[in-house]
Amino acid sequence: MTPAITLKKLSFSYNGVSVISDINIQFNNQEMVSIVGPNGAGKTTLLKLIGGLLTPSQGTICALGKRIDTLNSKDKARLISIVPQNPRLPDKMKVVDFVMLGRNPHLALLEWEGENDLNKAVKSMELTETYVLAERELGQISGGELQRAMLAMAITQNSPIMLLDEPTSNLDLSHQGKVMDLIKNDHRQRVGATLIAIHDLTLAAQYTDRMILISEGRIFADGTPEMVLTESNIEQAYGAKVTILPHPSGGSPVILPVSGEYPRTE
Amino acid sequence: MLFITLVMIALGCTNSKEPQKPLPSEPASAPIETISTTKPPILPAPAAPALPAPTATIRADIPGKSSATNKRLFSKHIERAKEQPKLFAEFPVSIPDRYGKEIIFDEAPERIIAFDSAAIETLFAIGEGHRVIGTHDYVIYPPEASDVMRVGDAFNMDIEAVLNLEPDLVYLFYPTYKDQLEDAGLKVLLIETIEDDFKKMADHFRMWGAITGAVNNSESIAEDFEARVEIIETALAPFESGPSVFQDVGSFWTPGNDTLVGNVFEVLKLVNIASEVKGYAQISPEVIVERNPQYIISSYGDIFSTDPAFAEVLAIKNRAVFVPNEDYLSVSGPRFILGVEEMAKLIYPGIFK
Amino acid sequence: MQQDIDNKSEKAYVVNLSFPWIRTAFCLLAAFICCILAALIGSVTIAPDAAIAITFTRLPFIEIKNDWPVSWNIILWELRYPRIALAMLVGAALSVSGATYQGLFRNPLADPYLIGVASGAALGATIVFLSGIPSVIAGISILPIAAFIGGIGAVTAAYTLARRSTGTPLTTLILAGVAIGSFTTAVASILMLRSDPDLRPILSWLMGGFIRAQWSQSLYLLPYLILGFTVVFTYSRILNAMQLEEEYASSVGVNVEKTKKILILTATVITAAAVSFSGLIGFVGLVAPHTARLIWGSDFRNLIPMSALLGGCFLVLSDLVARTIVSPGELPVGIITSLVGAPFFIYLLVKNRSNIQ
Repeated sequence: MTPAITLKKLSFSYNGVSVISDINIQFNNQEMVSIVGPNGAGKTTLLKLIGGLLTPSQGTICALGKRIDTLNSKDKARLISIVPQNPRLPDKMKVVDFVMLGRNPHLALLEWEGENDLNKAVKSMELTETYVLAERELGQISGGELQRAMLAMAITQNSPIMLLDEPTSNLDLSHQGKVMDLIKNDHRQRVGATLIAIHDLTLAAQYTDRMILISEGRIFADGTPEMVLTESNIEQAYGAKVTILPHPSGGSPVILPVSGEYPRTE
Repeated sequence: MLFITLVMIALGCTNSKEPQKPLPSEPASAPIETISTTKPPILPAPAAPALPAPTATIRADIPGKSSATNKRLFSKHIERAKEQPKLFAEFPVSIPDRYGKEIIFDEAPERIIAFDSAAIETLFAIGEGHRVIGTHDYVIYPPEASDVMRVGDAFNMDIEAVLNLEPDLVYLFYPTYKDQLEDAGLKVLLIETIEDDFKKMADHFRMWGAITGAVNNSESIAEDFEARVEIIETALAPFESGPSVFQDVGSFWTPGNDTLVGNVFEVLKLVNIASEVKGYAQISPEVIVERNPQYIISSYGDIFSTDPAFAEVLAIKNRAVFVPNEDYLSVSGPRFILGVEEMAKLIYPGIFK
Repeated sequence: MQQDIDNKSEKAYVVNLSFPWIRTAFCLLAAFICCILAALIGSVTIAPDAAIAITFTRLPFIEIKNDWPVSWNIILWELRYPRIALAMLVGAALSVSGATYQGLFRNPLADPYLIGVASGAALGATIVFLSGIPSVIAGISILPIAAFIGGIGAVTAAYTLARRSTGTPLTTLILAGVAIGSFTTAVASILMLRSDPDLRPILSWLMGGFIRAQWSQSLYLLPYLILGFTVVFTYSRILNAMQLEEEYASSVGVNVEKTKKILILTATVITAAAVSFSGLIGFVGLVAPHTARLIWGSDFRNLIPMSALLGGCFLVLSDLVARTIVSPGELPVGIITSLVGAPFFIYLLVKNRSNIQ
């Protein structure tokens, strides 16, 4: 079976500085993968490369067997949908109009949205519990609601591969779990791969079956969260000491940073 | 809404004539033909006016030989002046400037910078052009003045050049640089341009005669000017009013009655259809059509005769649209009267030959 | 999840996709009234019943007894109506172009002159005025052509300056437009300073006006407007998508660079064509799209046609004021649009203080 995403000898430099070096990896359909690593390691860059938003300096990216540099914008969008981190959004746009933008890859230039498209958008909004916000403006809803609206738009796009860049970073505790649940639910319904760049290691370990640890533009570790998240790996990649405990429900690794010099209790 | 616009355009174009020239760029090469025999009935049958005795007959010199003709004109004055009893230059001379301040001349200035075309033309006309050492960029007459140095214009004066020339008199018609020049130690004479009564130009000629000592020549020119004006006024005295006129100085800008041109119209007993305008203003073409002038004077080319909007206006129907060859009326100097006479001849050919 | 979909018992909100007919009909009516007013009011007073008769008598199958002065017929059909038509078209053109730029640059302060069209057109016109080139060659009027070439040329220069191998960043394009605009303005100013001091005809043209609008001008402008409007309207859904950041828009399948090229080209051509007949009239391209946005929201499928409508009416009304308020004189129409537009612009600035990206 054709793998969902294949990266071969992928490198990317910016202003002479190498950000991604020589990545070779393959993701299969129905894999939900988290990409973790310290700030500046190259997570966002990797996602943008896979999504075709950046051109690699070297190497190739294939999505469902097709090289993405040979695809035009629309065909690319039909294969891959992206939920970016903190994009600037038009304040006055209604949530429903925003979500319906996800139908763009399926519409011809002269075609306008119809009943069918609206229904798909409504369905996505219901899935993400944003239907109540449909008539509200993007500038008027909260961070958590915005994240779900962006997810709704990506779902409406109906592409087999979905890339998410830090979908939980701006959310408070109550919403983090909820959004990850929604992502996982949607993932199960799609036939394709989901890649999530995320910095919350515990959350990533809870929800994803495969984890890639990036450090300094290279793949440091690749495997199940239990395999990847070892105290040694984390110390080498992050330069930080941690303690790892099994999660009370489920047993996935819980990462506890070891405090520095002045913790509150000895 | 656009559909209605389209319908309007379709209807409008069914009867419209060819597209018209947008805005004028250069004057036409010759004036349009004079009036046809169907003369407007406003003037009663003219009584033959007695031509007053003195000097020149009305001669509206047709341009083409202008400079030669004018030179003949001026040299004629100077010859005649030799025959007249001599006037004597009297110094010191005191000239009140625009603010009433008296400017004293103990002797004729030798190095004059004049930022005024009228002053230049006057000085050369009275034979004192050799005193002029500097002037502004837009002087075009007389030809002898082309050797005079240009030092900017009244609104963009090249102060350094002016100071460099070490003039003993700077003549201005606009106050912008007056204080600056006086602070630099120069003698400044600021006289306002004539806006209301063009007959005052004769006094300006005399003024320059007094300043330079060429009182005979200046008196001669002034008298000639006044005489020619009197001829016109006398010839038109029997008549209450003349035909209606519209003057276009570009894009429907027109002078009101309180301008110099408006004053000329008054003297020529012409009814300015834009009389209520203050100064110069852009007038609506609708108003022109409604007020139906009998004559149109168009300074920058005839945009009226081929324009379907003006097809029914008397001036166009009678082919009475004039494009003056040279803008005599733009300089308040010795040639101004030529412009007045040209207009008089064109509008009253029966009276002025 | 399947159960959730089937169990939606109550919809909290009903999503409304239908076109706002009532608002639109109301504005069409207001526009119609606008044009009627402009037709009936002018420096020369024409009795309304005569005006109506004069208008309808042109229709092929209607005959009305002719008992009005000939001048009235001419005033309406040769002076006033061509003016209203041209003002409507120019207003529509500037507004469509303004709305497009506001959408492309994602900036509510963008207007059709943003990247140099106005200065380029002014330079072209100034050169024709001052060079002594006859204003009509072989029956074709040169001034609009020169203004058009100037406008397109300036924007092309700005676009070429701003272009990178990866695409054309919009902020760079604005800066390039400002630079080119300043340069062309400087050249035009120098030309004016070095020439004959009677600059009234040039300044009249630059300030914009319809004082001697012709039917032929509307005819020439119409194809540009129709073509341009069609292109922009077709792209209006894409323009909606372009309200996202460029990368985000690209990820939903918008070909961002191609869209930018097409829309900038179209908006520039529309603006250059309009300006070449009317001179530089400001604020229309700013006021009309914003007013349309207040009434119909930010969806460009509504905004584009409704801006055109509102802009046309705004200009027709401004021209009406310009040609009657100092009767028998006229004011340049740009003064009226500025008097209305400047306070509006300030209001926009204050309102958007926190929102400008």
